[in-house]
Amino acid sequence: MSSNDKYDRQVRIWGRHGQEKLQNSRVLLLGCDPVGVETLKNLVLPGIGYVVIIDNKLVTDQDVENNFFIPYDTIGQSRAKVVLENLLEMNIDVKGEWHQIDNFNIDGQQFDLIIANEKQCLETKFNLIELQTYGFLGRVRLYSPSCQIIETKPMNPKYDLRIFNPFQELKEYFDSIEIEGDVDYVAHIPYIVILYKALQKYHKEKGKYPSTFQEKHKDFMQVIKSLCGQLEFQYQGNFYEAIENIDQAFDNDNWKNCLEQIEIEQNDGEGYKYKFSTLISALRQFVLIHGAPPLGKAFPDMKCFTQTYVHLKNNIYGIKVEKDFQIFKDLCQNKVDDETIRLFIENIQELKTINFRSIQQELDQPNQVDDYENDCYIWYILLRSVNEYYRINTKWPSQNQDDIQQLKEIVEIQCKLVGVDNVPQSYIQEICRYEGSKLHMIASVLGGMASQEAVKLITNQFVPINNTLIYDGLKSEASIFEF
Amino acid sequence: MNYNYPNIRILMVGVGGIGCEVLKMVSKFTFQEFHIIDMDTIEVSNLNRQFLFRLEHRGQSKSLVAAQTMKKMAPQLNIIAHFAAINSPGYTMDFFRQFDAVIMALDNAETRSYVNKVCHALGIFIVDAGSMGFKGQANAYYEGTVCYDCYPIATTQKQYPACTIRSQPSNCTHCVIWAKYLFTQLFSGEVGILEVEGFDKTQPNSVFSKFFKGEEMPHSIDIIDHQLIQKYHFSSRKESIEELQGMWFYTYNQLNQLGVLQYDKDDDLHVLFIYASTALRCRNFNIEQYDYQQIKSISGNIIHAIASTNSIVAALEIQRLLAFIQNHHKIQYLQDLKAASYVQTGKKERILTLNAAIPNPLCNSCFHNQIYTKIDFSVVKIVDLVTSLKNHLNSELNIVSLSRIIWDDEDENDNEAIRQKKLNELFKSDLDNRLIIKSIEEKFLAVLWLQHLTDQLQIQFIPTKIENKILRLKNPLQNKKKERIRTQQEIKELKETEILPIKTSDKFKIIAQQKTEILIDEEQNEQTQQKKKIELIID
Repeated sequence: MSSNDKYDRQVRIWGRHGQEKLQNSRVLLLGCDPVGVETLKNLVLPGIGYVVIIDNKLVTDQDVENNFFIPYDTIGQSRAKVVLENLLEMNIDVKGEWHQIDNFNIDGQQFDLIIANEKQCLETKFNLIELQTYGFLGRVRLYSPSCQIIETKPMNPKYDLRIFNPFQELKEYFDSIEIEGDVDYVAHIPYIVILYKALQKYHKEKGKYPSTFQEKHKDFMQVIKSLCGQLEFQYQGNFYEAIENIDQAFDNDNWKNCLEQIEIEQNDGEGYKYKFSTLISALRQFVLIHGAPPLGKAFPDMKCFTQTYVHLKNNIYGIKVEKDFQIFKDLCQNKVDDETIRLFIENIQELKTINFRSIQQELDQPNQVDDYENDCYIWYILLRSVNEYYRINTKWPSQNQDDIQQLKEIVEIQCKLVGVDNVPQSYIQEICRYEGSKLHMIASVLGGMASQEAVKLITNQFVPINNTLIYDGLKSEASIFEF
Repeated sequence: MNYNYPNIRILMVGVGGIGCEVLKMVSKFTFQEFHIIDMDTIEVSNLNRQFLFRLEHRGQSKSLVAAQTMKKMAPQLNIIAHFAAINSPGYTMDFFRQFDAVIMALDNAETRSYVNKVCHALGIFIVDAGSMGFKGQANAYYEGTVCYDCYPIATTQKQYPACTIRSQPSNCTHCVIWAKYLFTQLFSGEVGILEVEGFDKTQPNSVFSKFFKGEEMPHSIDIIDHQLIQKYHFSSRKESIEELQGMWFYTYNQLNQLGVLQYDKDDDLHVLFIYASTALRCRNFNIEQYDYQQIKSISGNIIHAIASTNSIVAALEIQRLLAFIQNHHKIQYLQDLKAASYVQTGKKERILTLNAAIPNPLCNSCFHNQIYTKIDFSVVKIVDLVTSLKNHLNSELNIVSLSRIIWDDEDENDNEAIRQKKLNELFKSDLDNRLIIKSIEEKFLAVLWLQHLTDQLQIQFIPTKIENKILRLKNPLQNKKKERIRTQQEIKELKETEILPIKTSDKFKIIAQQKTEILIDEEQNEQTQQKKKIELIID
């Protein structure tokens, strides 16, 4: 009697709603390089909705050699067809179509993501991932016309506990408790109360709240410790818990930064983008009236009596959460469903929008990078250079001297463009050694990373890379740059 | 690129998510033999990433199905499948010894640690990879590098005080843990930390009342009229008390009939029992409960797994394997093999490769002095073994197996009791065959590997690694063949570093000749002479 859900292990990462988005999405793959096929494989397995493969080539020996999804006995057949059939065999839920054509007109079509490999794609209407592998090197480039994320799912989510600026009911609760009396009682005072009391004491003694790092982490910690009084060590657990969570005592104004970064666009109609801008304008109004954003539901575990915890969670915070929700909901004027509003309020501290530079912008003038710790930046310049070489010669540079010389000249121009003096000679020789080869191993790494980003773009969860990832297979290192 | 390694024998342990990706990576390679081993069978929840399996394979052996699929796709790989646990008795040191490298594609620390120990004793190269959600890592271990056990990873599982679980839960996780203890106590027959006794297991009502009804709880629950519910189908709303009781009584009766059970996170019946118990417990204490998925996840310590991350770590793993196969004559290269981690952080580096740490001198897994002996467990007595060991190591000693002390020279009473015991009375399984020998000052002296061999009464200690090296290099020609794989560039580099290929294989020949001498010595039982020979090879 086993679990019947084959998506069980991934739903834990992106949730049922994320899975739904995935299953309703359409993906276009342009070209069938190993890296593109690897990426698509990692989307077919988790159950993407519909795939369209465009490729004008026939299967060759080389394809068979470096692509797991192209079997030996398919040489001479349409590559798009072979790849699609072999990928769809892995997951019966996924449907798709293939076209053996050169140019595909995407006007009037709707795609949630385009994956381009082999050829450049300058499309700006849809989410786009451009992929390239070259010998031991790899490049992933993301573009999204609009990227606004509610569920950023940070590794260490921050709680909004309002210890610094308690609302009326919370303040009354805090003030009703004194840190004294029966040992068992004191040992069970929740750490949020301890933090509040420590803040009051600090303010009383110093005439201000802790602001510098020194004050926050050293002086303030002393105040927390002083609150223990004569308490024996084994009863001090909650005071240590307070010290562990010391950051929660200070004003949490992350949402202010988020709001500043987010520009409101007026959008007509419906969909994620429309909802997002409605929610942002509602948030602005809410903050204007109440001075703080609506309270989120997340409430951490803390050591205390069960009754105390339940009372705090349900009666103090819970009621406020519900009140704020109702007010916020009214501000949204029925344009957004309740579920999305709740999700939004939960994530107010972590909202994120990214304005991607387009690929054309990058081609014309990439951003300059000042600090880089590994070779990835150098490889980026060289990848640009070999692409430029290919554009001029329609072949990749080989190890013969003429090719190297010509590439060197191109590299110099590219270096000027990105503001770097020069790249070491040995790197130019190394990249000439590759001569456009495509390794399965590198494709597998890159395909894995590209599909992770694809899931982020499609589900609107987590923060995707902005905007380029360079993988250096020689040293097994990958870095992100905004070009 | 040509990946032909007709002399290389590989073992892959685990044919799950990472295992499938590894097979994908090597599908165009040629090996002498590529063994795969896994004890698991295919489940539906594997299908989102283990792409060699289909729905119709459900319940079949992972390794056998994978081999079947791969044989069609890649006959040149020479794949051989084993449907077994790697630490089961059949897989002795001699089994491991035939391989040049081992690929770990495992999902648990216990088996990793076991494979690591065996491979270090035998001097076999290991690559390891692991993944969890978007995060993952790949490593290589070999003689002289840090090993898997050198720096044990702190358990990430949070520990909860027993009294919180027993009487003061404050969140749903506490209740899930409580429900799991309940499961163990009721169906596995182990008395856990719940400390509840005095109920009749054949009377479900009595059991229910014992655990969910009581003055000490804020909300005692009485048994009410309910309809039995066999499946979870309430994704959009909260269940009523009646419905929860319906689930609880249905699952309780079913599980109670099945006899002794281990909790299985993929069995819907088990999960439903945990879910109902957790939800009822939450009602007992007015705690907000998590949804079905979350409770299932907590109860099973289920690790998130997706194809994309596996694809990355498997490729990193194979990259290390190739580096080893193509360069394993270059000692310097092996020291340069690094530990790579793939970390999904918000920062700039996505794949970070760190320098390998220094091996832990106190790690007994990669401890250099590992010795090996084959003796008849049913005849040889403990006291014989200890005496021989003392002579061999020239010291007083303590002997510890994986979990317990076998012998302590200072503890005369205990020793008296087991002196005359035969080895098979002490060592119940093949797993017990690894002993750590320490001096009475607790200093590591050696790691002793034992294997049963009928009618072998003479105790001889042979360094594990030496023997293995000789075996692996038994055919000097094998090395010459390997050298053909090297590119001109590599040979040029070799010459520069003054390790000429021809010189290397000459050296191997000498060692191989000495091997035969040892065999003769063994037959003559001239231990001292043999020891000298071994020292010679070490030099």
